[in-house]
Amino acid sequence: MKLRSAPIVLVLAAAIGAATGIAVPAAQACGWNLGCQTYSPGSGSTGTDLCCSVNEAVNSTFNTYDTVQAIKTRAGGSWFGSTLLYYDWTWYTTVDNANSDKVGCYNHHTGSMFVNCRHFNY
Amino acid sequence: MLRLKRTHQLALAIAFAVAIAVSLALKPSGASATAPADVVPFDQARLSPKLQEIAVKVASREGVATATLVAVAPTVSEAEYAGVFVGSDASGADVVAPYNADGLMAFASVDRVIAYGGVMVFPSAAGEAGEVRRVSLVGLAEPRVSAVTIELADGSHLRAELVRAGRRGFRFFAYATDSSSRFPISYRASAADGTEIKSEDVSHALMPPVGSVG
Repeated sequence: MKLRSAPIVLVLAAAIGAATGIAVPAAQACGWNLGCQTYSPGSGSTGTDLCCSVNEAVNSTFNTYDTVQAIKTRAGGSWFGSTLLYYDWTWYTTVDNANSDKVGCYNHHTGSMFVNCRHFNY
Repeated sequence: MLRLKRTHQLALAIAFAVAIAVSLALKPSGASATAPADVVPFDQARLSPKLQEIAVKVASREGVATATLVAVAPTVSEAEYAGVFVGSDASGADVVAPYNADGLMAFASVDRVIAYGGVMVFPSAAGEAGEVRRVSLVGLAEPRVSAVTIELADGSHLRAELVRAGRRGFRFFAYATDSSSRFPISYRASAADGTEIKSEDVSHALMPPVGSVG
């Protein structure tokens, strides 16, 4: 393919993707505030409360498995609660310490999986 | 006369022993106890004040009137640990929100269960410093599911009581405990004829992360 035709092909692919609902892989950083990354078995990511409230929610999409664990940890990373989270199903929970406790996602399976995870106040 | 009486007593004892042996043999393997559950209106559910507050908030946020809600929860003392809220959305469709002592799932169509083989379970754990102190296992199942048996850490089995709620005939169960020997390990859901519909290990889902998670 000639280099000068590449942008046209990309625009075309994006247009077809938008029209058919098929996602076109994007290299840009995703909008999930706990990252979009591969979790190896026994790994995860958490984030501290965003602002002002003990009401925290966790939401995730992922591949490979049906579920991921939504977890709560203390500032130092020690666990104090979790639940099983299905694809794009939000867990509304609370933390004890608004400015230091964290919530996030964790891969409890035996294989790696790609996880999009985010948290928000509600 | 005395011999006849003794013979009669012996026959009675043998018949009694045979009856016990037959009843034990016919009993489902190991599922000798039940995890009882009940359905109550939302405003009568035994919920912690914190959970009640956020449940009202989430229901309002998602357009579900609390007047339509019922809670399927264990009938025993751990009732406030876990359960499933069942209600209707603005269009009148059945929606569900599994909950535990620490929060609840978003309200979602009961039909989500169809994509997961007819049964969805929501194991949750709570504790401190990586030590699990309390767990729950709640679930929803298609109407074709007639029995759910939970295997516990001590090797015994519980038959989960399946409670109907909502308009579609879907069935729900709820189990919670703070006794580590009674933590759930797996479950098996079956149809009325005994055919297995789904079985799953839940022990990994209840384990806290190894070490700390940043």
